[in-house]
Formats: sequence, C-alpha cells, structure tokens
Amino acid sequence: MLQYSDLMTAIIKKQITIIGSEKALKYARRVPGVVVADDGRVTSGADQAALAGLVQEYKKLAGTVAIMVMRSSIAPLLSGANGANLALPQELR
Amino acid sequence: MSVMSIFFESRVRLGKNDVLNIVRESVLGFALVVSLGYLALSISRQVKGFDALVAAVILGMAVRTVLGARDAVFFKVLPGIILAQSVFIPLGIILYGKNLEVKVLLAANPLVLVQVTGITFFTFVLMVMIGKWKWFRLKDRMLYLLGFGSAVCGASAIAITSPIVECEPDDTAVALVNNTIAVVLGLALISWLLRPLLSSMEYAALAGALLHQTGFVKTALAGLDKDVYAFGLAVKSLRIALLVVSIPIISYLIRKRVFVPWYLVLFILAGFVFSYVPLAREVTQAVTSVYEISFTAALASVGLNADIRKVTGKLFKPLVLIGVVFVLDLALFMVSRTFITY
Repeated sequence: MLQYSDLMTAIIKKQITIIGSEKALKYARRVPGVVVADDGRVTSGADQAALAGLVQEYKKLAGTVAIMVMRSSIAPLLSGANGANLALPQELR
Repeated sequence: MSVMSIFFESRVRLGKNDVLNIVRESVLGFALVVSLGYLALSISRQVKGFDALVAAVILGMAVRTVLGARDAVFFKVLPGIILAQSVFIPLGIILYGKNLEVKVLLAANPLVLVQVTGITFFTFVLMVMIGKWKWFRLKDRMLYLLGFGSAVCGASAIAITSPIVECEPDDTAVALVNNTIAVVLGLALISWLLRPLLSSMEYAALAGALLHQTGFVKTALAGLDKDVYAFGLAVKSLRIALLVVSIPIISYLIRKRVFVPWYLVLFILAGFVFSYVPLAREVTQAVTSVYEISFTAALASVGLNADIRKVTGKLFKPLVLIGVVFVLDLALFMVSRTFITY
C-alpha cells in the first residue's frame, strides 16, 4: 500500500535532480520529525502533516512551478486506486 | 501501462491561475537564463574551440556562486530557472535532430556502421564497468552521463541525457567540463601521434568515431580534402543517430519500464525533415539559432543549480576514467580499421 514516505521520497528525489541535493535535502530536513537519508529517501516521520510541511518548504523555494514539479513527481504513484488511503494537501490535488 | 505513458512522463493539469502565477513568478529567472545563454553563445564565437554549452554551464555556476549565497535572491529566480529547463531541453533536443543526417546514415558503408556502433557500445560498457572499480566508485547515473558524452556526442549528448538519467546538476556540470578537457587532450593525441600513421580517410574515420564534440572533429579535419572532411563528419553523425537506440535503453535501465521521450520521436522526425525536405537557407539558419539558444539556455539553467566548488572537487576521477576509456577505444579502432576499406 502506498505510504506518505513514498510520496515524500518521490518529491525529494525529483527536487534533487533539479536543484541539487544540498538545497533539496536542506529544505526537506526542515520538516519537523522527518528523517531524510542523503539519497532523498524518507526513513521515518512521514505522515500527513509532514507531507504538507514538505510541500510548504518547496513552495517557498519556487512557488507554483515547484507545486507543478511536486504534482508530476507523485502522479505515477497515484495512478488507479493507489493512494486513495492518503490525504493530500490542497496543493497536490 | 498505457501507450501515452511510453512517451510522456506524468502530466499535470494547469488551471488558468496556475499559468498566470507561473508566468509572473518565472519572468526574472527565465530572462536570466536566456541572457546567460546568449552570452555563452557570444563567448564561444569569440573563443575558438570553446563549446557554447560548456560556456553556458560555467557562466551559470559563476552566477550561482554570487546569487546562491543569498537564498532570498536565489528564490526569486529559481522558478524561472526550473521553467527554462522544462522548456528549452525538449526544444533543443527536437531541433538537434537536424544534425541526424538520415541520408548519410542510409548510404553508409555497412562495415563503418558496424565499427562506429561497436566502438560506441564498447565505450559505454567500458565506462560503466571500469567506473565501478574500487578506485573510481562513481555513481551509475554519472557513469551513464560520461558514457553518453564519450560514446555519442559530447556536450549535446550530455545535455540530452541528463534529464533522462535524472542526475544532479553538479554531475551534469562535471560531465560537461570533463568532456571538454578530454576532447582537447584527445585531439592533441590523435593529431600529433596518430595522424602520421594513418591515411587521410582512416584519420577522418578515427576523428569522427572517437572525438567527443563535433566542433573538435571539424578542427581535426581542417585542411583536409573536402571528401575526407565530409566523410569524417558523416562518421560523427552516425554516433548521433545512435541516440535513438541508446536513450530508450538507458531509460529502461533507470525507470524499469519502456520510456521513449516524446521529444526523441520529434528529434527523429526533425532528422527526416532536414534530410529530405528542401528548406530555405533562412529557415535552416533560424532553426539553428533557436536550437543554439535553447541548448545554451538549458545548460545555463543547469549551471545555475550547480555548485562550482563541488564540481571542481569532483573533476579528477571522472576525467581519468574518460582518458582510460579513450585509450582503449583507440586500440579498438586501430584493430578494427584493418578490416575496413574506407
């Protein structure tokens, strides 16, 4: 079943390829309670609030463009009924 | 898996407000990227042999060093930088298809085609295999970038491959800079040491098959007969054509599914159009201009997201790897040429 950590990892990894690991991880690690490995994997602390927090951090970086990038990075994971159990922040719907 | 997913990444619906917000937020960064692209083109026209794409990435890194220290300033231009990449990379790749030379490909001596394909494949495999040795220990995605840069077409191949391989901007910058250093050394090696040992046609085949950037192939062949010059460039264009096969293969290795980027399909179409449709000189020149600015702007946007200190710190081992593979490629060429009448 799809988890919040899967969505957050996909978002962070996509940001790494665009803005580099230093900035992508710096802002991801600002989300309280979340542990992010150096390759972008979220290893603990992922939940609805953490996902919302991550979205806000990247939104501060690059606004609407960042939201579009985040939506596109999680879209493949949400195909079909995948992710129906997860509550997404408004920006990602 | 739907047919559309073979050619398109996931698509996102944009509302009217989204579009307006994107335009408003991106203007500054977009203008910066295009300006750096034009500046890089100007510099490359003034400095002989200095590839515009490499100039663009270096300029991008230089500007990033100034802007990046101040997050508040960098955030103002970041939306435009990201948007520029998503616009200019596909556009540059599509228009790069004009270099495909389909007629040349179809008229090629089959043995030359086999030789070029063999060397290209060999280069790529060696890069990945040797790059995983203990002393190098380079990441897979960096090895794919280096492989494309050496096997196919230097800076342009790296620019085309980097979004598909999904590597960091630092790695793209490292691959680009190293590719340029390597081709300068490679040109010196083949023109001083090997030129006296080879016939003109063999030398042209060598330059076309091994040198990493088209500009340097032209430099290597400067002064030779028109037919020899054309032959060397034709060999080079065969390597470009191999992008059509190599990109889907690498996409599959990374994504674990069949993915042929939609702009690769248009790249092939552009190749056929420019090979078979008689176009006015003004049209061809206009397309060349758009292609040049697209690629330089795209690479400037990559440079703006790369860290020059990290890039310079990572240059040495990949450069050694490129050199080792180049020497092995030379050996393969020298052996295989004995079976071919050029």
